[in-house]
Amino acid sequence: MPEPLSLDTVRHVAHLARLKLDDDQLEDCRSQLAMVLDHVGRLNDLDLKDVEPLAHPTQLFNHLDEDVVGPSLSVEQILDLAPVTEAPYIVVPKVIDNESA
Amino acid sequence: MLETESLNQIVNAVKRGERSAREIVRECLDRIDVLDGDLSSFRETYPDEAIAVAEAIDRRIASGEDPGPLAGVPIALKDNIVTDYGRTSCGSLMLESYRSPFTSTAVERLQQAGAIIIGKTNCDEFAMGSSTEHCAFAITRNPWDLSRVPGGSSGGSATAVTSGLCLAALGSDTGGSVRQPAAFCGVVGVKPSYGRVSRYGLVAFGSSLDQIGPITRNVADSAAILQVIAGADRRDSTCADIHVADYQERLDAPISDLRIGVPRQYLGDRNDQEVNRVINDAIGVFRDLGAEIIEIDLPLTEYGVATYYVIAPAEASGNLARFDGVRYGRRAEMNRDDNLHDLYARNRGEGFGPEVRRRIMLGTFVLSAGYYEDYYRRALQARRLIKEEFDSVFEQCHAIIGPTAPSPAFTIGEKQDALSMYLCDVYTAITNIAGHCAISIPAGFAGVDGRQLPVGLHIQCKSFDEETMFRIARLFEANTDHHLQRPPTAFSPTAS
Repeated sequence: MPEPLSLDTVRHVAHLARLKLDDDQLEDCRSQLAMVLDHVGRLNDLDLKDVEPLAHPTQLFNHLDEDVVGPSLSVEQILDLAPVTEAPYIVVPKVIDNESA
Repeated sequence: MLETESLNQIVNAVKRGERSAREIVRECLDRIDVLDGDLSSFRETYPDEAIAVAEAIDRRIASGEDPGPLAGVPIALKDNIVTDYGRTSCGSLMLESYRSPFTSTAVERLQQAGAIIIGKTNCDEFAMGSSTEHCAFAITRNPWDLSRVPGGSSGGSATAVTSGLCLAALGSDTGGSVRQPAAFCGVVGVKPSYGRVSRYGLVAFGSSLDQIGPITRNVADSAAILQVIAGADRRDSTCADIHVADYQERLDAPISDLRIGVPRQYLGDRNDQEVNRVINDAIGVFRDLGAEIIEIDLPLTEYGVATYYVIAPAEASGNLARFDGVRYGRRAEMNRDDNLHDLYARNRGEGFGPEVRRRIMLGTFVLSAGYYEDYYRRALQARRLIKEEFDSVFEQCHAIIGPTAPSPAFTIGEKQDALSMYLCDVYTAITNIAGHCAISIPAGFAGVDGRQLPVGLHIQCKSFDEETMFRIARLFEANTDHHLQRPPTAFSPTAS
């Protein structure tokens, strides 16, 4: 198993997960995750050589639908759900910064 | 009388016109008003909608129609199962005022069968927890002892059923979230086989693990509910197109040469001694009824929690990525210079509670570059071994039995660190890893600090053999009276 969980690693993971956490929250995650990962370490005791990973418990096959238009939500319903809107748009911060624009 | 009646009694009384659906709904709402202040099982109720549906059912009966097999049955929904009225909050500030534009398949089927949706029940945030303490809005309490947790994450549903605030409830079970609260509250909880019930409209947590399941006061009621909600659904491609047996017709039919496996790993030192005593007594009941009890070996039991707490958080981190505060859900206060990344990170940092943040972090970590092979891939390999181990045991016996949880209900605030809470799932999470079905039924009572607390008997059967699972559970129930015991909180002089 890799080295123990550092605060820098936890900070990096928070960035990947798009979670803004303060230092106390990062430390809570670090200590709690370290305990859980220590327990998870017991998976190293298993002989997993040549074992195929299993992502799903049952044998399932795709069933394809006919490609026909069915009922869907209206623009109004979708705008109703969004927290900040300027009909018929959902408002978000600027995505392209000035320099690259 | 709602606290003692069975589903069939209610349906028959309603269909014969002896009781009106309206009067049953009214009784439910009154009981909630009087009793739920102490229990906090409900997030919200739907009095107007429920009464209107009940009156429509009464009119249909008066005009000679059959409103369906669940006519007049008041049902509560866990707060992560969507309906196109009311809110669905998943116990989270992120979705505090979220209103779904559509209804889940399971609920549509209940409604078509004549059931009446009473309200939504509290749960751990996004169904992540084993105590219902991790809910943004309330801490639900165990009806048997208000200082204890009801279990989780479907704790509100289990509490409401136990206290007769509804006749049945739906929960969701990703690692034990239906069965463990059912065990802690002394009621019946079912985790159907993966693919048995449509997940359409269940807010996703672990997509290869989640199943919706009923919580009721007896086995026949659970069988009646599962009968209605089970079966293929074109809106969930993981929902299996496999025949649904008539669970109720042969519920009391004996099983010839019944063989029950007891794993040597299920009754050891990790359990509370009282739990072991109750489960040993339950095994004795089966033996006295002529079942052959065989000792079996499930050595991978020790690896279930480790495997689960890699796979479930990994799937959760992907599923919860959709909560970005853009299209729906909570939007945090923004600073002028915030960019899109800031918006996501701030919404999610503030909208998710501590346990959800931890699981997203854990899941993101085990999937991240440099750790994927060591954690996630390894857990998926262990998953195959676990599934094969169960497959081979199910060739030797009809069912595997043991305790649902290693202890009875613990006190509120008792489990402070994440790992100690996760270890509560030792017997249940491994079922979801392998995908087969399981039920928790009242096994008896443990004496703890001068109080009697319910203990759950966990009965696991092979995938898509819910029929056998119900029959074995019913056999035990028909020869015991634990399921008839009600907590003192279910009886209030003003509520009866």
